[in-house]
Amino acid sequence: MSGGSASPPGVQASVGTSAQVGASPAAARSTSRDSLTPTLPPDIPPRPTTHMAVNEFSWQMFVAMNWPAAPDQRGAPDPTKTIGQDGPTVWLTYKTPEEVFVAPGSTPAEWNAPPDLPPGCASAGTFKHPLVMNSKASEPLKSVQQAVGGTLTDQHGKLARYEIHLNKTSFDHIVANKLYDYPTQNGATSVNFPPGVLEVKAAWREMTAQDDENTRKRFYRTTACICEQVTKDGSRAEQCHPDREVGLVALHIVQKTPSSPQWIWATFEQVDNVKSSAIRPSFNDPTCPPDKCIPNKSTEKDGKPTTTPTQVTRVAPIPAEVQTLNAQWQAKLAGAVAGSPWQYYELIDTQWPTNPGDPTSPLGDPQPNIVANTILETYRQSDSSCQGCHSTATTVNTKVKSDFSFLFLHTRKPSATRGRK
Amino acid sequence: MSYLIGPRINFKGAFKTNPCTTNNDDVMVALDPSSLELNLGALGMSDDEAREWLKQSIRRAPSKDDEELKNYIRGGWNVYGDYATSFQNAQVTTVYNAGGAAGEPSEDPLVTKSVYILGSRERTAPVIVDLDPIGLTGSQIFLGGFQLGDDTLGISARCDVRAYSCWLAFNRVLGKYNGEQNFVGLGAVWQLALPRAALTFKGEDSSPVLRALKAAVEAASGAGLLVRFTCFEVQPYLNTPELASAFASGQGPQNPGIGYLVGTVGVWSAGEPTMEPPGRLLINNVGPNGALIPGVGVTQAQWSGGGFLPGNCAAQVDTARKVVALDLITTFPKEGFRNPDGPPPGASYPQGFDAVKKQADVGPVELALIPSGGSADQARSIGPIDYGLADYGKYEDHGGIVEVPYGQSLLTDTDLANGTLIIRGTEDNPSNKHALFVSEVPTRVICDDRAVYLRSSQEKERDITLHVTQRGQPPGQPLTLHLQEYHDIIVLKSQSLRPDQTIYRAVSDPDAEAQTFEATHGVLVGGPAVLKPRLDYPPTLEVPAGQSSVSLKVRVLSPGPAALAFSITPDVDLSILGPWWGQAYFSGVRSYAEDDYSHIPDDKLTWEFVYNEVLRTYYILYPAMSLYFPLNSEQSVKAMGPQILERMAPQAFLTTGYMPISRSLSPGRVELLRRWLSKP
Repeated sequence: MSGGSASPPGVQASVGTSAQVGASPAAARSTSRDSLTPTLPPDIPPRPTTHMAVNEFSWQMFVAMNWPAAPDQRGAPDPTKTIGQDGPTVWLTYKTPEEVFVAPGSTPAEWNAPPDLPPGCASAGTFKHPLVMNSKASEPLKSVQQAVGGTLTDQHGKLARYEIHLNKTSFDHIVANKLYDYPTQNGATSVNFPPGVLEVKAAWREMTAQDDENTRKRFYRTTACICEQVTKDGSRAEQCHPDREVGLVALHIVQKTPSSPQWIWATFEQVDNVKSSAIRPSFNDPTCPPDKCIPNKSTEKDGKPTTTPTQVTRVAPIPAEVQTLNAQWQAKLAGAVAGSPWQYYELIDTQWPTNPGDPTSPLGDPQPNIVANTILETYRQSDSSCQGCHSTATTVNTKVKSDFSFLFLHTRKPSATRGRK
Repeated sequence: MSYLIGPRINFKGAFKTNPCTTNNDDVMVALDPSSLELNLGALGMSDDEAREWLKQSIRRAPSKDDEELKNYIRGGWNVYGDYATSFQNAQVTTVYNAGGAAGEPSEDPLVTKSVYILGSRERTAPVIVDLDPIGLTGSQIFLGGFQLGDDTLGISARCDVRAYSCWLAFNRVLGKYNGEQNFVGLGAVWQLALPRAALTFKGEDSSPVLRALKAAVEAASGAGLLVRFTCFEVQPYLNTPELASAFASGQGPQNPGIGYLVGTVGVWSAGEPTMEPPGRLLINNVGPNGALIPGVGVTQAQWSGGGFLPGNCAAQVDTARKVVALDLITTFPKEGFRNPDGPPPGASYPQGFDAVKKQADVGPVELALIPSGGSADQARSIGPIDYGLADYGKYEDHGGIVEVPYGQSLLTDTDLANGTLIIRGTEDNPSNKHALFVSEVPTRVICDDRAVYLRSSQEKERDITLHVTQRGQPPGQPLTLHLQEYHDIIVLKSQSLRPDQTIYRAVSDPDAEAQTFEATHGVLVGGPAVLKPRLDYPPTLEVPAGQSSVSLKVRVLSPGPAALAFSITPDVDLSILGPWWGQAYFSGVRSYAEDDYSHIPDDKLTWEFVYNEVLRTYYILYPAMSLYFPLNSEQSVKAMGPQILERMAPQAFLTTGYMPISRSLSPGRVELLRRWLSKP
């Protein structure tokens, strides 16, 4: 059984973020902060609405999700702080699939219980943010529903790390319907999440000694305990590395809203991922010619990751109007807290159902048709449709659609328990 | 009883269809017309290069008669189409029930209720599929159901059925169109039949028309309901520069076509065809084969902008009420396009649907009757026809169905049963005095099996049933039908009509794309072109007197698509119909390639082999599929295996969820993929 301990409450980051908390909360309440709120917007404006109004909604979600979390309540913002101040973000305190889809016969710990840590991380003594996947396509996630193309290696030869979190509404629905349980889920005839369900998918890169302060300040950073599967003496084992500093490079925020049963799909990136005039791009070498560094081509060898950097490029530029909107929000974030790393993030775009009620359109006519995050969908940017891909999600028996959520891929089969308890 | 003279529900709205255009013969120069596989060797590109190549802008002439080069997207106007087809904002406009006064609509709570066509699964759409992927002889829509109204009041049907396009009208909209799409002036009629067992009526106690329809359906003569609708002025959302710009910036927009929709739900009586509207058929010109033949004595009607060809009309005589009911939904053209310059920049729904609509003024017209054995100059007027000139809204709201009383015309029921119905300009029509608009086809031959798929080696032959009627009744005398096989073939404009020069082999010619790709439709097997027969069938078919249904057996000789045409006169070459081929009496028969991979051992059944043999064509030609999962990814395809297998199963073939939607994958290749997916 996972968790269960009442203390320490919630999730506490052991190491502060890179945000320079030079400004007090009071000082941070500048004019520019007034439009920054920790309240998660419940829905996009009523239709007919505009694409840019939906993108405003996405930025509001971004601010609410990255607000410093309350110290004693998972998934809640700290109203005494503002975005950019120290501490784990709201979404970082959400549950992970590993906490929800527990071992057969077990029950997920209550919402506020802290996560069980892998043994290799517990030795650190203080909670470390665990990152257990080395790629979206790695085990235990073998599904297509994860990004295709394998691992992604950054310019320092390190693998990008990915994780998923889900909010309390999602957690409650899964627990109430016992959908974490393989036999129960296998017998389910439908999955229909309530409005307000929210999932976050994040990508991180390891910060290295080569990253100077000018670079580091541009990332939201946290300390992670990175675990990966290794083969040792012919058997597989989990090896963990506590106290690794990681910087956030990409973030999907998706929410099912009352007006959008096909969900709203917003995706963000750190601005220096593939091009930068300020620092060395994290995932692109601008000096490397295309015939040598083939854009968006995996550098895996024999199906295994290598330290050869992946040359990531953005196939479709961020639309001009989104760039304009980004500049406005980045200015607000810069004004809220001096040196806030959040000013170095940008919205790529938002895919949303323009006609959600059409009974003949399962996706509700999503616009834009294609939206790609260079770090989360590196190898299929020209085909990347959030709704299209997620519409294939099913429960474990593959017969029942799982309401656009791939969470159920994490369900642990009774006969083949894998991973941590 | 039929939808023309029985209780009915009329509706209107918009028709939206999202076909993928990359496999159209006028754009896809690398498709083998026999196997329907992509000739990648001719392309000489990698798969991803080929996908990008499809999205590039090129210049070429839009048709064989046009020398002007224009910009086109190489893969057509909708590279990312997913075939979804739907009604948009369709609502009931008027209803008629059996107890209402003739020609007058009834009050009913159904008015303003929504109307939908549905996919086979919940919240899915019907899909539009070519009859023949390299031809233009018509389309079909696979549907999984129909819904009118809601859970408390209305009609719903869950059944896998098909609707076929018919009655293609080339002058459905008249006026100057400065846009780039040459099909915007077209209109087509579609019909689907919903069997009685699939129907559910809700709230009929409060709706007189629902009660009447339900009673008619449940009567001994009732087979179910017919839904007949027309779509016209269908125009893509985006124009070529917008598409080219989007593709150049890495975007992949879908670009569905959207147009006007007008339809009617009525009774489907036992014995009535499902393929096209029943009753008596009036067309623009009756050729020797009983179908329209352009250029052969065609009588063009006149309007202020010049001549035009009226569309088809169905008619039925209601002897009880002494009226002739006419379906004019596609007969008379609308004047003026809602977007005369093509899609406006950044166009999005509703794309100008608030534009004022009006009929083209062709002057007063009338229904008349040519007496049995008589000629056109002996025609006797039955009565004037209101084709919506004064009140377009009313014309559409009533489904384009009008009634012409004949009780005062001194014509008897017998006269009407034996004479030839015509629509003509009246005596005082200034520009069309007694001009023949449409005239009745004495003999109709309708094949409900409009798209026959012979899908396995165990199914080399099939019985096809034909409806044969004369003036709406079973033939009074025995008659002989003459059967012929036709193929669609594709040649370069500069080349002669030789099947060995099909365009997919000419792609290596660097100048090829600058030329018009002339698709030649309905070329007679056994005619001037040397074509290898694909079908075995009886050359003639005898239809006994008094019998309106006959069957024949069609057997496969070699794979490929073919059209089997039925004529009432011998030695007619329907090749001259060209794009009007849809007016011919025919059935499309597709026989798949005899691919057999059973000799491939399991250890040779690799991803690379399966991808090359099965998935590559689809990965390149249907990029919308990869928005769901990339077809070039072993991991993705394997993970989706259970869902793929379910959608490729034979029992899914007639559902909207079948893969591939184009239904162009041979059973042998389906089996190959199934084997690979089933490997542990």
